[in-house]
Amino acid sequence: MNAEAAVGAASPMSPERRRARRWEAPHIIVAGAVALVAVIVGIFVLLCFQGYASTINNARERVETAAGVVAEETKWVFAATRSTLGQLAGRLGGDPAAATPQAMRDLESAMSSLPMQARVGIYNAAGDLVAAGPATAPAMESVADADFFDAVAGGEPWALSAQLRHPETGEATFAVARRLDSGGTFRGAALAIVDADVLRSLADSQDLGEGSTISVIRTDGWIIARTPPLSAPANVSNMENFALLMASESGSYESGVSPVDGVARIVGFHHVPELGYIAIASIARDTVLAGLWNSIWIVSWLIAPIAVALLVGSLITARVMRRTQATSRSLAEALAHNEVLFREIHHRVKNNLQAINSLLQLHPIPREVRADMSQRIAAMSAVHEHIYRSHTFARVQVKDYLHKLIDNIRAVNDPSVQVIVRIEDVAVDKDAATPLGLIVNEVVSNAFKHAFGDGRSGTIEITLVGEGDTARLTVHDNGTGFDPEAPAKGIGRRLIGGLTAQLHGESTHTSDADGSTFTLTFPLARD
Amino acid sequence: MKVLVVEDEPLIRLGIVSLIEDAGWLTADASDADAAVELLEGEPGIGVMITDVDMPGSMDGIGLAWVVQRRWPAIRIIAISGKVSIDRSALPSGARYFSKPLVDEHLLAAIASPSAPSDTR
Repeated sequence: MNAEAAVGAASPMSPERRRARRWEAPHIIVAGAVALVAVIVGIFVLLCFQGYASTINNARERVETAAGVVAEETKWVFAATRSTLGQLAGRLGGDPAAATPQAMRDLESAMSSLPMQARVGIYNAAGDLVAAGPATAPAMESVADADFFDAVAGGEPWALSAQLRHPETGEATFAVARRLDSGGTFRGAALAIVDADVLRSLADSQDLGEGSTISVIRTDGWIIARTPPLSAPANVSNMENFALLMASESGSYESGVSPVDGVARIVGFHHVPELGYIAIASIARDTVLAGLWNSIWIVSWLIAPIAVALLVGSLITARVMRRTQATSRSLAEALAHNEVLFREIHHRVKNNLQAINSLLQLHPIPREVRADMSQRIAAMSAVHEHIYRSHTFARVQVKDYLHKLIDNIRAVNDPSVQVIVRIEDVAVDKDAATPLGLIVNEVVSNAFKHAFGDGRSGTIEITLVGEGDTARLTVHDNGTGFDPEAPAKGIGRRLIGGLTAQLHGESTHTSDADGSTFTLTFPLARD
Repeated sequence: MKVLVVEDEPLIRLGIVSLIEDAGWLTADASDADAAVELLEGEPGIGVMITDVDMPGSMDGIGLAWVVQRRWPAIRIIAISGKVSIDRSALPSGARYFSKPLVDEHLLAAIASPSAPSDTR
């Protein structure tokens, strides 16, 4: 691998790229979690709104139905009361003075058949009480100021009172008034005074819940009766929804805070035009929504931990990722730094080898010896360079390295000598690469120098083969050969012996008529 | 013919000068590119310049090689370096390159002849 490329690949990212990377994974995770939580919360809120709308709709349907039921029930009460009063008026012949104790006792028994507690009062044209029944129950002494009395005095056959409060008992009641006249002349009025509590049984049967009301009101807004009862007469005509109430036969609306008791309600109404009142049923908004709020509360408690866990989890993940990224960055920087350091050391080693070569140049030794030394130093450097370039340190593939080494030897020797190189790509131990290179350098250089001294052209054949755990190097030349018995000149033979020992190998150098052959066998693996 | 040796490390410079002088050539030497240019301006007989690539000063050996090729095109240039990753294509065409440590015979052959083989390392 090219050293520059290796450094380039390991070098730290550019600042722009790093910034872009810094905005990537961890923030996407957090943003994703936030978005997910937002979606969950959004859906939950949407469901809450839907739940609210449907709860309110259900409540409206319920109060409309209830108002219809109240209208039917009260219609019967009022009709029965009117019928009884009608009978009484017929019996009196329209004259209050005819209300004898006997007549009142008869009336009393007639009243007992009515579905509610009621008593009767007979008033003269001035509005003063002339007779009442049952005798035990007190009646109002005068109704001269009452609007319903004015109504019947003014010619109406029937009139309904607003809610009345008995001055003595404090009971809430209302009155159904029947005009008494004879020959078209107003004589007075017969009143059925009904306990306002008559609506309670209706309210109980409807079971609309806490804060609910059942009431009947006159079309002018005065409340006739209400459950729970009012402490004082009240008129609702000035309420903002009164127009809505009057606009249709029946229906419902959401009312704001009631001026009567401060409760906001869902109100259903049903007109009874033939009797001149409106039946109303209402449920407190809080009662309606209690179930919904409860559900929302429970679901919130379920969702909140999930959302918190999601957010916290994403933050932790993002933090871990940021740390991992920071670690990767510092590792990349350290790697780049090491590459630079490695290159620098390599540079220094090569320069130092050159310095050694230069020192040799300054020694008064034969030029040939210096040249040999420079070649040996170059051979050592070649291993170093090969290891540096291949980035493998434990074992060294020797094929390229030996080829280059041999090429460099050829470059400074007789070009007419043919060199045949057959080198298998054997991987040797890192400690074996340098001795092997130096041996090849020695033997091949020697062959060039001595084999063809007589000017003949020849062939040098270099072979390296792997044989299982061992490798065999053979250098054969077809030159003049040598005398094995002759004493060695120079350091060549000693050097080869030492290097062979370093390889834990065995070497032989033979000479015959075909030239000389050097053979080295050495183990590929080291202990 | 004179050979100019430009090398910032004195020991290496001395060794190369010694090698070349032993081989019979005259030499001049400089420790950086500026000194080399100054020397070239005063010495007309230089035929070959050997320059280290990695040198301090206003320019390195590659810069010097380009200056020399432009101003003294007749001078042959031999760049040497201990660095592994020298971009040889950055050198002017015709310039030779040798990796340190030098093989004496390679350098001497390159000085003697423009067609001598290059270092294959």
